[in-house]
Amino acid sequence: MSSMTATVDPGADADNVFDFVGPILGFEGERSFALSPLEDSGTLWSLESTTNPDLRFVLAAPAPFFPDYAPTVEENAVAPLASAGDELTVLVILTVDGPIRTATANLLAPVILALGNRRAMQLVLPDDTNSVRAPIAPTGGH
Amino acid sequence: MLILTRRVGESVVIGDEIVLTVVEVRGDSVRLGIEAPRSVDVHREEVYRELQAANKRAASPADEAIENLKALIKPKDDQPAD
Repeated sequence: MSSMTATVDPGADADNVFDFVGPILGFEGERSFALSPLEDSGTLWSLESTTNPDLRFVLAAPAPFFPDYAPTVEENAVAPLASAGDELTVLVILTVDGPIRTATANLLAPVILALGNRRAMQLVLPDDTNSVRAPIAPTGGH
Repeated sequence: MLILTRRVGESVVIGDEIVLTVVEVRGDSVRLGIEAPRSVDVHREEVYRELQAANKRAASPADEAIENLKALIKPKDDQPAD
């Protein structure tokens, strides 16, 4: 199983263009996206199509929102990334189409990024227990 | 749609490189084995549709939504005084 602990440095070069080796489902023609930080902590990221600037996704590092999220990633599943043992980064796509308290993260199909060779993919996890729309906002006081 | 009948253990070949095999039949369920090149993704149909829809809903959130997200994760004591 590949290591999933790499974090993306928000201070890295803003020209971080990733080549998607597989489709983002629903956007099959889009294979080139630029990843840039939305803020300084490395939690929120913008993934913008290099061919269609109107298309972008907001991605999040899952740990601050889902500390127990530990997707099982088969080596075969990420073989197209050809990351050769380099650490892979897992970010999840956020959906915010209403108030923030209804914002959700797609834990079933995270985006896996190989920082070394700038390849990426949206990986559909075989495990049915991860939600495609997991709420991210706190639901009450802790 | 092409309809074929297969028994357990029998297969269907799709194109040159995809093989679908009936592995087991139990009650209403059929276990299918799929051999396909890595370049071909295989998904259960309802999961595939749901993921397409989820990605489409996630695409291009409004700027205001993004600002709200940033506020959500930013600790209050880091915010600059206005």
